[in-house]
Amino acid sequence: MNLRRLWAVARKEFIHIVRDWRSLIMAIAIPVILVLLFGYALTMDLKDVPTVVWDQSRTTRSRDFLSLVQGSPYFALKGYYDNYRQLQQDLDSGKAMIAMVIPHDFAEGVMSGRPVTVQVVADGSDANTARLALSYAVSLGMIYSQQVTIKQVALQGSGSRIVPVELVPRVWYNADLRSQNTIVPGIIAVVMVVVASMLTSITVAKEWELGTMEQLISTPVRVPELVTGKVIPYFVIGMLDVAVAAAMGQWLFDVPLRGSPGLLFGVSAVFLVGALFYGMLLSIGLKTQVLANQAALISGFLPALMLSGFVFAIENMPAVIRVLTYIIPARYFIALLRGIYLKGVGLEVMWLNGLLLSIYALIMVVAAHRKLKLKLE
Amino acid sequence: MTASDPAVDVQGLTKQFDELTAVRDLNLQVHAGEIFGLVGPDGAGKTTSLRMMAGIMEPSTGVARIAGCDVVTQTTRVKDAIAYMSQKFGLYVDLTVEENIDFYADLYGVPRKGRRKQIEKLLDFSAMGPFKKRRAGFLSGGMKQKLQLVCALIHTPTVLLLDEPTNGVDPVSRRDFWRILYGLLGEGVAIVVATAYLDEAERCNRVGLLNSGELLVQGPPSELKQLMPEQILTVQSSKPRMIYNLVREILPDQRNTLFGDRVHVATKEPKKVAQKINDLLNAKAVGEYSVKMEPPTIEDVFVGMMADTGAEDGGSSDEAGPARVNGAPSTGRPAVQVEKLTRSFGSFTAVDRISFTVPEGQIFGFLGPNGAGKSTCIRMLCGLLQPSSGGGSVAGYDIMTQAESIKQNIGYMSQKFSLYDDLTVEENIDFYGGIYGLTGSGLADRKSWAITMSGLNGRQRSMTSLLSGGWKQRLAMACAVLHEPPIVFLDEPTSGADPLSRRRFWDLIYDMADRGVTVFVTTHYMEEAEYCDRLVMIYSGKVIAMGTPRELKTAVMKDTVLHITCPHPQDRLGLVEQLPAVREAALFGAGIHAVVDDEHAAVSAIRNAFEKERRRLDGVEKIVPGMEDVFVSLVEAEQQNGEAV
Repeated sequence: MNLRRLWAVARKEFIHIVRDWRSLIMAIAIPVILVLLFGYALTMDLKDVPTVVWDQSRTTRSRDFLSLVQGSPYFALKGYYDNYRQLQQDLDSGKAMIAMVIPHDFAEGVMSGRPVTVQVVADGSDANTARLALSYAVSLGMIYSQQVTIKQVALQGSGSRIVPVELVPRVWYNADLRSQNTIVPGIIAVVMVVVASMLTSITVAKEWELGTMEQLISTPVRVPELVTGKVIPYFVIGMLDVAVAAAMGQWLFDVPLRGSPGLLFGVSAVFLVGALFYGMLLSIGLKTQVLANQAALISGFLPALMLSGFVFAIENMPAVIRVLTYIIPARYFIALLRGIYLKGVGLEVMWLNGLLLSIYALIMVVAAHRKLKLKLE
Repeated sequence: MTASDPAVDVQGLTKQFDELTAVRDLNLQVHAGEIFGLVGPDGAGKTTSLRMMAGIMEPSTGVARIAGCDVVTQTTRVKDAIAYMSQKFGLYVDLTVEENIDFYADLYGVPRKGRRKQIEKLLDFSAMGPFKKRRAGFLSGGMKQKLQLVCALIHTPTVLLLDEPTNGVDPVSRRDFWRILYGLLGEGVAIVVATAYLDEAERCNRVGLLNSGELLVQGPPSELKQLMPEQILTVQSSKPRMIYNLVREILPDQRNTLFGDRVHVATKEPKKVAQKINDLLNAKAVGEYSVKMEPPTIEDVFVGMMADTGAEDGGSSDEAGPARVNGAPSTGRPAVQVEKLTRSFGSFTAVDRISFTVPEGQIFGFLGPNGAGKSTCIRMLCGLLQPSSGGGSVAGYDIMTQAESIKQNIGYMSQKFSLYDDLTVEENIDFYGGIYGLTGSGLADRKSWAITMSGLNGRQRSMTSLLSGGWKQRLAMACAVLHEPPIVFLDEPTSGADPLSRRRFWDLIYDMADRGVTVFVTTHYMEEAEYCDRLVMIYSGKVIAMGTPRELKTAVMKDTVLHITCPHPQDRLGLVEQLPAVREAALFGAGIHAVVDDEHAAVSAIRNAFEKERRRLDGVEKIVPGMEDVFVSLVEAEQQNGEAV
């Protein structure tokens, strides 16, 4: 490899990017937009679920219970009714997602220690939210019963006799279970896949389309000089994007970075190399800009989003799909990022992920070099 | 490699694409300091041959060596030794002139030390110095070609391979380009050039004629000319088309061809035929003309050889229905009329207060160097671009306010053919028919007309991508006039086409004009300018001359032009140029044209100079200047004015 020629190609590519302000904006703006979009919209935490109530009991006890519901951050009481018809109307129109019916013997039941049933109806058309809301509602019910029990025991004055077994759950790595903490590391992967494959997928195809390739291959330029030279500017942009995404995670979303920042950028660089050369490979093979770009987006972005464990847990996928996830490099990258961000661990634990990621990058580099022929057909 | 080994050595080179043999058993040698011209019709295999020599395409069989290195097994060394210039513009439009040159200098490993000087030299040589900082995308066609040459020459190559480098380049830039090439020959570079200009072929040391992938003949131009069994009679006049048609009637057996203002008749009995022509033309009272016996040009040889091989690539337009010789009923108003038409882009005025009138049914030629504003002007006339000021009318509609009505009433064919390659011939015609609102029997009629006119009978279902250049050109024109517009605008319709296709295309233009259609055409082929009824010449957005071809050659061009016939004119150009009696000299076909003030003084000065250097001189005579002389001298006068101001 001749460094002079490598640098000539890289510099030329830099000029192309700088002169075409649209591509430059895309390269910088798209990551920012993606981080904002996913960071704010893709939150799985539940807040203020609109709730309507039919309190048949209308007693202090039932109001106690409702104030507990009202007081929790998860539910927001939007209406009080005295018939099923209105409850159903609100659920139908989407004004409410949860409807609660407190039975008329609620107070009596609580006082006498009989089991009481509060009916909770959830709008199941959004299954995820409904499931979460229901589980919160169940927890609320348990808390209320506990309070009641403790009061009863206190009244009876014989506390030591019936203390129920208490579970004290503690979540490691993400103590308050903020989904942003798990999502932001994932976004870095998605952003890089999108930016890398989009940028490089057009570069070689463009030269074929414009006819500049014919002139170029008549010169002494060699394959590695051309391929690597073209990747260098995009690598710089890609690392810049990683920095932007990491900075936004740090200061905008308050995601803790517990591991080494050096390692974060290191594995990002490895992943970026793989993604950039993958884009090159498509560009070389497909020879048209539109096709290569589309192929890069669909084959890069969708798997990184769906099959990497970014949004959907890999453990819950059907066996066939789970096998498929092993060939998605973003899977290993996201695992690494979450390890670095949330667990603060390094390669001593995640060496296998690191190794697989490096192998992927190596395969892409070699494949892109092999695929490019400095000949016309 | 020793000094006597050929720089280019091609033996039995063959390239097979599936069914098609693009190049078959090519053999040729080119030595250092020699220039070899590759001519032939579109699709003959010129580009494929050059690509194989450049080591960017694998031959199927055969061997090609560049400076002793095999192009397949020693590709790296070959690439260090050559400079190749592809037919398509191969540089980066978003890089400046300087950045493009630097990029190539780095690729070729030109040392940074002393590089500036080499670049400055090349830029000066190509007159590109002032444009160093300009982006390549904003250069005119001629400058782009020169820049590509400069980039290719940044390392001094052993072999220079050029694929139709002067396509779409105006005559002035073309001269500059060839001046650079001759300079290189002096430095011992071997050059192979494919060209569609046969006057360029005249200037090569040796020429090869390629047809259907086979080299029919090769040799020095003078030898090739001796291969012609016939002799050439030329009839020069101001009505060449008319004379051509008359001569064709009385001499159907002889091969007659139209070259600019001359009709060439190839005959074995020149005396008898000359008498016959004289009798005919006197009887018809066609005005001034002259009949002469002249040595054949390479183009005569080319036309003759192609006729022998039966390489007719399309039907003639004769069957396209009876010509309405008197044309459509004239409305008496001009087809195009513009007054002080102006268009600016920012601070740059592309078209500057242009005024002219085109009468109905005329063939109106629009000439000017690359970047003079021709395309901008045509786009305004076609309603595609709003003028900044001034005004005018096309087909009776106002160009400022009635653009949509204009589009309905004109046909427009741009340099880039508007055909869809992945549609068949018929589907393309159907598409344009649909756009112009033709349906039912109207569409069927025009479709059969279009197919006959473009000579594509029986190939209606062929993919357009498979058609050769000449066919595509004619089909594109047929599609542009499907709705029978009274005015047709053709923007460099024949750019890059081979001489036979170009000639057939002009037959179509004449056909349309005979039917009363007004044809507005731009071209860089000066012999095509001779075919126009009237010409306007623009430079830097301004009209610099206007009139019939004859008026331009006599009234506008006041200088005396001498034609010098001698062997190796490219080597004698310097000798002529430095004479004080000669104002300007340039290569022209197989000779030299010298612009002089005093005919007698100049003739004797030239004779003396040749004698003193002991060089053969076959003749010096005053001639009626050709369109190219006119064009070049007008443009150069403007350039000097521009510099003086």
